[in-house]
Amino acid sequence: MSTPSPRPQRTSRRLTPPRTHHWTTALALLLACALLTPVHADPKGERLAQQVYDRPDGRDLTTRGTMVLQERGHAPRTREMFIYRRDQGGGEVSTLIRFTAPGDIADTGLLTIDHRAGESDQWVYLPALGKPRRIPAARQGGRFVGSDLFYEDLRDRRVALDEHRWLRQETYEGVRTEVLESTPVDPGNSVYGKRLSWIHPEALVALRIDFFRPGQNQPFKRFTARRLERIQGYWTVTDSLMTDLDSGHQTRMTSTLTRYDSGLDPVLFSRRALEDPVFESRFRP
Amino acid sequence: MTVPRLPGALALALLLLLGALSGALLPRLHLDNAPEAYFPGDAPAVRFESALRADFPPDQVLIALFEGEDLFSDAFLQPFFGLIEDIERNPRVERVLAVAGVDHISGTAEGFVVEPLLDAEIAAALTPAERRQRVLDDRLAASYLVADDGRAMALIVRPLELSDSLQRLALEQDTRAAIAAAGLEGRLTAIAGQVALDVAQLRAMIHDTLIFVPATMGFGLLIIWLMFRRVLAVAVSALVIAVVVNLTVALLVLAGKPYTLVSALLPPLMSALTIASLIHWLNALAQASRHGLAGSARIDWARRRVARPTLFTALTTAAGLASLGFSPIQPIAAFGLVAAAGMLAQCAIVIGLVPPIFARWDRGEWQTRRTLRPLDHAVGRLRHLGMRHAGWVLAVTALVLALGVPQIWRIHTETDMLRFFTPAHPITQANTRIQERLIGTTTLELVFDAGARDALKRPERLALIDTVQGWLEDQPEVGHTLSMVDLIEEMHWGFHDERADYRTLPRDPRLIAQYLFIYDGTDLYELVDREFARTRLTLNLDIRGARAINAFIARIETRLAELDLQGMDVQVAGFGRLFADQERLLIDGQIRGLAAAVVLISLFMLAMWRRPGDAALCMVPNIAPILLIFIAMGVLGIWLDMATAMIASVTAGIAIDDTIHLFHAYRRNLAAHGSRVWALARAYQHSGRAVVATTLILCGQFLLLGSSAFVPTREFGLLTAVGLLTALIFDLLLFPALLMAVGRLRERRARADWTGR
Repeated sequence: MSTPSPRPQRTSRRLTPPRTHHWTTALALLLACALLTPVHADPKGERLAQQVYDRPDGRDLTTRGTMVLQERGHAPRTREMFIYRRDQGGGEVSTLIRFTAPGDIADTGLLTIDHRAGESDQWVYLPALGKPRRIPAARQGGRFVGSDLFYEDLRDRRVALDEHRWLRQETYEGVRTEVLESTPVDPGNSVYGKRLSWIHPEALVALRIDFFRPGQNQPFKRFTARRLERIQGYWTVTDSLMTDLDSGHQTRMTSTLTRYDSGLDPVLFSRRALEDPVFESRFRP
Repeated sequence: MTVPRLPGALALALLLLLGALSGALLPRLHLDNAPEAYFPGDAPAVRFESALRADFPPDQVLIALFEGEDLFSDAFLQPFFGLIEDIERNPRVERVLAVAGVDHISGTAEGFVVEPLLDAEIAAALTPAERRQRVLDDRLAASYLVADDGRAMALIVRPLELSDSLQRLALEQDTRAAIAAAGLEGRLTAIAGQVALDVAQLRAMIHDTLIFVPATMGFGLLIIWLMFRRVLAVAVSALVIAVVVNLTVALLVLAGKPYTLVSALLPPLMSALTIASLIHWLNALAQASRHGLAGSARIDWARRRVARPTLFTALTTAAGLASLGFSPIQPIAAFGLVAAAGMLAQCAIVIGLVPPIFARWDRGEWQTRRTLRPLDHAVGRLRHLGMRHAGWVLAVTALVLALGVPQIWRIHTETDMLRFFTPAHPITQANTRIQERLIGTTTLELVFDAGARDALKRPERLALIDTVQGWLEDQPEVGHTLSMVDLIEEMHWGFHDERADYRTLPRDPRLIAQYLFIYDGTDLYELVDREFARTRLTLNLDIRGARAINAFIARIETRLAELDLQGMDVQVAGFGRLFADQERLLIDGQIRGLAAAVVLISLFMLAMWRRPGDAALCMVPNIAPILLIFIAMGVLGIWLDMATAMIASVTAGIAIDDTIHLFHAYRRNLAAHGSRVWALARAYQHSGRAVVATTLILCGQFLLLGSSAFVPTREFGLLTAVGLLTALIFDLLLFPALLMAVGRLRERRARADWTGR
């Protein structure tokens, strides 16, 4: 599998609907979905947040992609993985991530089940240990496999968990976006103090998200969509970057293959599938 | 020596302008006493430290200690958790290490967890006894954040890179304010750590500057009043001292050098030296007045009398001070060079600006005071002794020095910042308290560089780190250690249902890689870089002082040399290393500085007397006091440190002035009358009193510094006074003996040559 270029300036940036490529990053999709909630005081913001949350994203999704960790002065570190996501119905969403490279972490897996009520269950599987272990749902701010993504970024966040406020329209990368501020209703259920999102009005996908620590006015982390495509009729971010603004450390996620609505078996989202890479590999595209 | 005379008003205006300009620069003074400020920027230790901090957080912290019987009750913990959040919001703070902020790794029924050791949410579900047990059972936090008996708890504030001591002061004040706002002042028993130590030094520096500049100046002005009883003399002296002190400190600003505990000695030193120069000038004016001169004639006579000696003494003092510029310790070098420049500026002011002011405003006769008459008797007796018993004086001096020289090797080269304060000082007590209840505040790091990506995931390398860590923990100097191995062991233990036999380093490289892959806490990346190529083992030591730290580092390096390092490069780094390296720099600086002082002053002597023999002769009574200072340091157990390292050069630079005055008069008299005895007696009669008076005034001012509670100021003041007094005695006793003996020798040789011819 080829390694994506670590040099962003050499990657084309296309935020209008594409015509050819089939790239997707489910992680980016999750992020794009994860920011929204109804606004008690701002119906416009609430409506926009709900629209983003409800936008069509398929019954299930399979992605083959790469996660590239970029640190100034060092060669990029590339991980390859498969991501499976399925809307289980009743408001429950399940996600399985299986790493396939490099060799020393191959077959390591993470299973996340986001329940309707907002809580999540998470298990990690270490092949060298041979058994899955549960990760407490309360662990929101931990870095996912040393990347710039937090566990909270991987979870489905209900609209009602935040208060939303429409701030303004703003041109971002040539696109007239809607800027939305999302603040946790209960500060205890998010590692972030607030998020600012620049929403593509047609795709209803966040092109940029600024993350703020509680009580701070300067963002410490930034998500940017680098490529947005329509795949099987669904708007999909196929290349994105999460930047730690303090350290400059970046996590770039690209997808080399995206497939929606392939009819993923619910059993794929079980502990059995998590601890059995051979079983899971049957679902790989 | 002819100097064009300016109009009085212009001279005064120039003096005031100089004072105003230099005063305007003072607010830009950069107060920075951090250890890094003491090293040249290209020193290997500094370069390594800078590179290290690019990957890892700083090890210079502020530690607050809270004590009480109920530290795990809601009454304490609720405000304590609020306090941590409050301090974390401070823009100067990078991280707060406390029970709520550090990772706790543990196993659960079907999983594992990396979570805060004890935050509000976790505490809410536990009783005080359970909270206490949870914290005390944590292998990583035990004895580091909480005392073994659970009655003391630390809050460690790790700042972002703070550029100067004022920012460190602000951080300490912010932290104290936050503690007060949380209502926890009553539980606070100590604030220590390198940041607090720097702040304590800053306060001491400011205190001493505020006290001793006015004190030395006031003392000098009082003496001037007692000697001359002229308001103009006191007023002009006050103005000149203020301008010279301001100007010298402003030169520090212009040179871009920080104001440190070393440069804090500049203001009182410059104040004292300026008063000495002014007394020579005022004394000449009084003499001119006694000779019946008045108006311009009096000024011109006095200026002719003092201009040349003032210039030469300024040059020799500046040479002595400038010799410190060879010190590799940056503040000492800056002190020497800036003081030397200040000395030359002072000379220019005393010769160029002061006389026109007196020419314009000085009216009336100068009354002769008898204040210094008692000195004549003492000068006469010493000179008489030296001349009559030259052989004995020389022999006894040589014997004393010969017996004392071995004591020089007993001098301890040492810098212990805490010893700069008295045992009763709050920073000393705070440090002792934290060391007693938790850990030592001296930090050291072992940096393992494996050189390649992921090389530190290999079990054999981790096992080596584990071995080194185990050995370190067995050493009596070590209070606490932490490495990435600890975190891996805790994960292994947590993933295996907290079974004790799994609290070890796994041998499977894949399992290690996978643990590290899924680790989602923050502590690991403070110990290893994200490349897994470089890691640090952090140590808290129960020792302090460069000497003890160096001895321990040497033991570590010996131990490392015995081990197969698995291809890794291992270096000792951190605050302790930087600090310990000062020992070597102090010795280098002392040797280089002294050699430079002797060479420079000798060259000036040669230029002045044009005879190598005379130049060498004048150096003897000035080198001898330096030897005596070192002998005294060896006998009395006074360490060679930041402050005392400057004394020899400063003393040499100042003391040579007296020799110049005396020898100048002796040569003039000898040339005029040919009798060595008469020339000597006359020289000591005329110049002896002024030499004794200025030296005593200088000594008085330096002795004032001896009353400081800040040890560097005190030792600098006392030892410099001792050096000057010794030099004076040698000038009055040894120098005439030497001149007599050498004179006889030269006569004998001349007779032999004559006879032989």
